[in-house]
Order: sequence, then C-alpha cells, then structure tokens
Amino acid sequence: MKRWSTRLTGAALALSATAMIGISMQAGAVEWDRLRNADKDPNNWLMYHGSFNGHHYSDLSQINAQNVKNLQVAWIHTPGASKRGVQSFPLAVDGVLYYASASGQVWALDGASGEMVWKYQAKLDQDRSEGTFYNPYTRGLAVGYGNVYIGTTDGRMIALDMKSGKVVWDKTILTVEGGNKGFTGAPVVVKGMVVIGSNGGELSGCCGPIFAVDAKTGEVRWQFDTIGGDERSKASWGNDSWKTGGGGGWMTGNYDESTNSIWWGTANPAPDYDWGGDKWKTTGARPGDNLYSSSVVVLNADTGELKSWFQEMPHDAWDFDSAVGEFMKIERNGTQYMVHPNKGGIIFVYNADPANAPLKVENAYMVGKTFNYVKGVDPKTGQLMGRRELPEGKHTNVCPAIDGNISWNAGSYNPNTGLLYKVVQEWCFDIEVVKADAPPAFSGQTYFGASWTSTHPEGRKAFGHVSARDPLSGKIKWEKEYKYPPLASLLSTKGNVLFVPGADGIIEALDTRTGASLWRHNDGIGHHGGIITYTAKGKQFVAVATGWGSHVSGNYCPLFGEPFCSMPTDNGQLLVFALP
Amino acid sequence: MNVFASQALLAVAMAAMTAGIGVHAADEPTVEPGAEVTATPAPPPAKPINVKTMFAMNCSWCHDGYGLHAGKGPKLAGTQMTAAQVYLRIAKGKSGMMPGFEKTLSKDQIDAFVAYIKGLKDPDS
Repeated sequence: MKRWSTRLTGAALALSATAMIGISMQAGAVEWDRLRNADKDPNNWLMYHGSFNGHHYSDLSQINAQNVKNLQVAWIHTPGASKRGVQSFPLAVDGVLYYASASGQVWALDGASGEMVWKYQAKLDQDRSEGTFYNPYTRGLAVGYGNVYIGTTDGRMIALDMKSGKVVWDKTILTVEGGNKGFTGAPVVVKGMVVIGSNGGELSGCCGPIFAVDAKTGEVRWQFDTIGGDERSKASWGNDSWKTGGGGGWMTGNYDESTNSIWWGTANPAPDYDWGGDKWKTTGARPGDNLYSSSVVVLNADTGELKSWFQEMPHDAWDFDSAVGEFMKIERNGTQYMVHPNKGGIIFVYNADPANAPLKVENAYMVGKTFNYVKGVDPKTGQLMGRRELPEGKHTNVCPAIDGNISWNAGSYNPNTGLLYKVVQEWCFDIEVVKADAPPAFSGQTYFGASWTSTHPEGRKAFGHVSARDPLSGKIKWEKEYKYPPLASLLSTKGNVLFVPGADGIIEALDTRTGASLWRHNDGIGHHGGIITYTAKGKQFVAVATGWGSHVSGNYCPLFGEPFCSMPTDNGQLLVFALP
Repeated sequence: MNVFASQALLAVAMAAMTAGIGVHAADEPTVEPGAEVTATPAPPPAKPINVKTMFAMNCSWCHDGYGLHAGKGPKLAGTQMTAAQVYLRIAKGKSGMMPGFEKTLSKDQIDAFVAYIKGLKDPDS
C-alpha cells in the first residue's frame, strides 16, 4: 500500500481545528508515572480499561446508590455522522474529555460543560478504511506524553497534541498489499510506547501483528506476529497455512507492571470457517492448532518477545476468538491472577506469573447458558471438553452464534464487593461450512467460507443477562436477565452503582450488591460503546457513548424486530450525566 | 422468523445446486439459490462460477441464509433494486454499511451474483 501511504501520511493532509470558544485548556501532563498509577486517580479516566488493573471501576462515590435516582443529563455532544455508531471509550484528563467517533474523528471537550475545545478529522483512505465488513469504526484513544493517540482503519497511528489537536506525527504502521487490514481497537500507552493490535482474523495474510511504536516519534519499536512469528507457531499450521492464516489482536490488551508484561488477546484464524471437521489436526485448510490464534499472549513490554501464552481455542472452529481485551488483575491470598473472558463464553483465570509457559490455568468456567459448541471446559487445564466440529456442507445449529456468548464490550470488577459484573448474550445460528478458495498468501483478502441464519436458542427467544460473580470461582451472587442483550461496556463504582447501557437505549443503574434497579434513562438509541466516570470542577460525571450499528448489533432486527429495525446505524452521541 | 420454511427453501436451493443447474445471466433471470451460473457476455470464464461458494466467501458475514433472510444486512431475496442497481451496490458498496467488491471480484463474478440475487424467490412472500 505504498501508494496510499505516500498520499496520506503527514500532517499536511490532516485536518485539525482548534475551536474558538475561549475556554482555557487545563489538561496536565500525562507521563508514565501518572499512567501506571491510574488506579489511584479516580478523578480521571486515563486509558481504555481505566487503569492497568483493567477493572473498569471507579473509586468515585459522589454519585451513589442512594442518590443515583436523581441523575440527569448534564450535557450532550453530537459528533454528526458516525458510521456504525459511536463505539469508543471516552478518556478524561484534568477536566477535558477526549473521545473518537467513526472515520477517524477525535474530539476534545470541556468535561464540565461539553463545549468543544478542538476537533480532529483524519483524512482516511476510504477504499481501505471501508474495504472490510467491520469498518470504519474506532473503539477509542490513548493519552500520554502530551499527545492523544488514535489508530486508523487504514493502518496508521496518529499522535495529536492534547492541547491543540494538531498532528504531532502520522505514521503508516500496517501495510498489507492488496488488503484491508487496519486498526479499530484503542491503543494503550506503555513505558514511552503506544501499543496497538491489528484487526483481520478473517483476512488472508500474515501475521496479525501487535505493534509498539515510540510515543514521541511514531517509529515502530517492536512488532509481535500473532501467527507465523516463530517455529512453534509455523509448525502448528499444516501446509504453511499460516501464510493465509489471519490472526490479529483487534481489542485493547493490558500491561502488568509486576512482570513488565503486555497481555493481549488474539483473533481467530483464517479461513473462518475451516472444513477439516473431526480431522482438523491433519486435514482441512489449516491443519493443526494454529498458534497463536485465539490465544492469550504475554509479551516482554520492552522487546515484544513472547514470554508465555495459552491457546484458549485450539484450532478455533467457531470464530470464538480471544481478542476480547479484558485482562483484570486480581490479587487474592497473596497470589496474582489475570482474569480473561473470550467470545466462547469462557472466563479463564490465569496465574499472572508468565514464568509459566504456557500460562498456568487456575480455573476456567463457562458463563453462557445455551452453548452447545463444546460440552464444557476443564477447570484445571482450561482444555475444551466435547468439541463439536462443523462439517462441510451440512447445516449445524451452533450456540452461541458467531457473535459469541461474550462480545468485545468490557465488564467491571468492583474490589469493594469482590464481584465481577459481565454481560452475556444468548443466541445461536444455523451454519453451513463451505470450502472456500484460498486467496493469495499475504493478500489481506477475506478468507471466509460459510453461510448461516441467526436463530433463537431452543425453546425460547434470544436473551441476555448481567451477572455478578466471584471472578475466580465463577460463583454467581446475583443475575439479571435482559430481553435484549446489552452490548455496551459496564462501569461499577465505589458508590455501589453498576451502570448498564442497554441495547434498546435504556441506561440503567443497578445496585452492585443486589442487582436492584436504581435508575433508568432512555438515551434514545442503543449503546455499544464505552462508559466512564470522572470529575470536572469538583463534580462527578458519567459519560456514555451511544449509537447503533456494529456487526453484532445487526442481529437484533432479525432476532427481535423493533425497535432495532428502525434504529439508525450512522450516528450516535456522547451523553454526560450528573447530579443536579 | 419462519426458520423451518426458510430451511425448506434452502434445501430446495441446495438440491438445485447439487444437480448442477446452470443458466446464463440476463437482466432479470430466474436462478435458484446455489445454482451454478455461467456469466455472460464473452469471454467465458475459465470454469463455471459457483455462486454458492462465492456467496459463502464474500456475502455471508452480513446476508443470512444465502440471501434468503435478513441478517446483519438486508434480505436479498425479493429485492426491489434493479439488476443494474444490484451490480453497482456489489461493485461500489455502501459507505459505512458494505464494502465494495470491484477490486476483488471480476465483472463476470459480479454478473453472476446479480443473476443469483435477482433470481432468489422471497421465502416470506
């Protein structure tokens, strides 16, 4: 894609504007010490997962279970057209709120009033940005070293000056000749670097990289290939099929300072789906385990070298990849655990010590209720039990559908209750696997072979549920069923409030201890983005992204009918709530 | 959603494909789902275009049941779009909704898709 990079890279072609609204910028410096201590800074939301604990939790309690019933809209920001809705997580830094809308738009707003500070619009290569079926949305930003960072769907990383929105650097990081790979996930700043993973599990090519670029210059510091990067990986792809094997890491992983490790979840292999059936170890398009697809990889943060891994879905036959970005670090009785969910509806509890290679599984449990693709997971080894392969040319009803029991939306762990809050979605599909022609190696073209129809679980309509459970044992404390499975991320606070932004536009506050409903508000359109809380001018705010149109949300019209069939898929807003 | 009816229709479609039914594309052809379609005009493709395989490779992410049902994208069977409009949509896509395929599919392949889609019988009508 040299043609594109030549045409597009560089500040000269980026559009940036500082709004003339006369408010002073208050954003302070965000250096490494501040980021690594983000869990102790509840007034701000400094990274996608809130802090390197990955808890999506806030110590703020001005808004609490007693007064949340009084919550009301403080201000609204409308970004204009945002294809597939606003899916991103806002960030809050010293009274300024930053967020991204689709097609490379970045906004800086006054956190108390919503007044615009600046706007940036990346000039994207539209052919590449919209050349796959899951573009051109973006899931968020990173901040650090005076910059705001965004990855783009045409494979670039861009650093913007936090105060002005002007381009500091703009680099093409990912080029796949003839293909469409890019970045949809939010980056994360780690020790002077910006780390981001590529999308494209279904796209032919190699090697689904995760990058670390220099935060000040944009130069690539290291690259980890999720497939085909070492001999162990290559040996697990028969017939050199790693060359068309997809991979990637499309959501935002995390960093564990205690071991100086990046934890990242990886995408599914291509083709999606394989036709090897029961003989997948020796036949089909990609014989073997297909390392390190649908896995967790633990990397040396300084070098990108692989320290450890665990393949959660060996030879992923269902597109239940592990790219879900949550890595919740939890300490109990002197042991450090890393809790990670995947699309198959399995929550893996790892020992956080990457000296174990592969990673040591301390527990694994299923959170879905209607799954039939496996009989279960071995809690001691993390191995799948009773796999159900998908034969070529036959219709098979599989639960969950390709969308998974768990999507990319983040749950929340509240250290005060000791509970993990997580959304689970329950529907199925009738799938026929079709033997696909292989695209050229390294081409980035779609490598996909199946047809399906979304279906309801046997004996009942599709549904969702939010559960509160012990994150290590999986034992449920309470559970609330939802007619329409929520697709947005959750937020819990020290004020004993759990916010659940709903699919139908209703945002609800639940009591973290009981699940009792405390407050509801109709935001007018579905949610499938992020939610944060922060303070500005001494007051606590809750900011939630709205907008509909992701691929998972596309199931809701055929499954549920209205209001989803009439829900717009090309806009959204940022709604910010506060007490009167 | 009448899953059983749709499955029955799809079974008919698959049977047609298995039987190797092939037709030549025209403006408004009648083609059963899954049928093999030899695109026109000349030059003829090196081998028959298997629409079922092509559909599974390019369209199924969004269009359910080989186009017979609404999915993430709309139901294709019974589309009110003209053949020319269908061609244009496949070639150019729809911003924010659907990628264009003119760089990865040949004209003959897109013609075959147009014939297939316009020939689909709406299972709900």
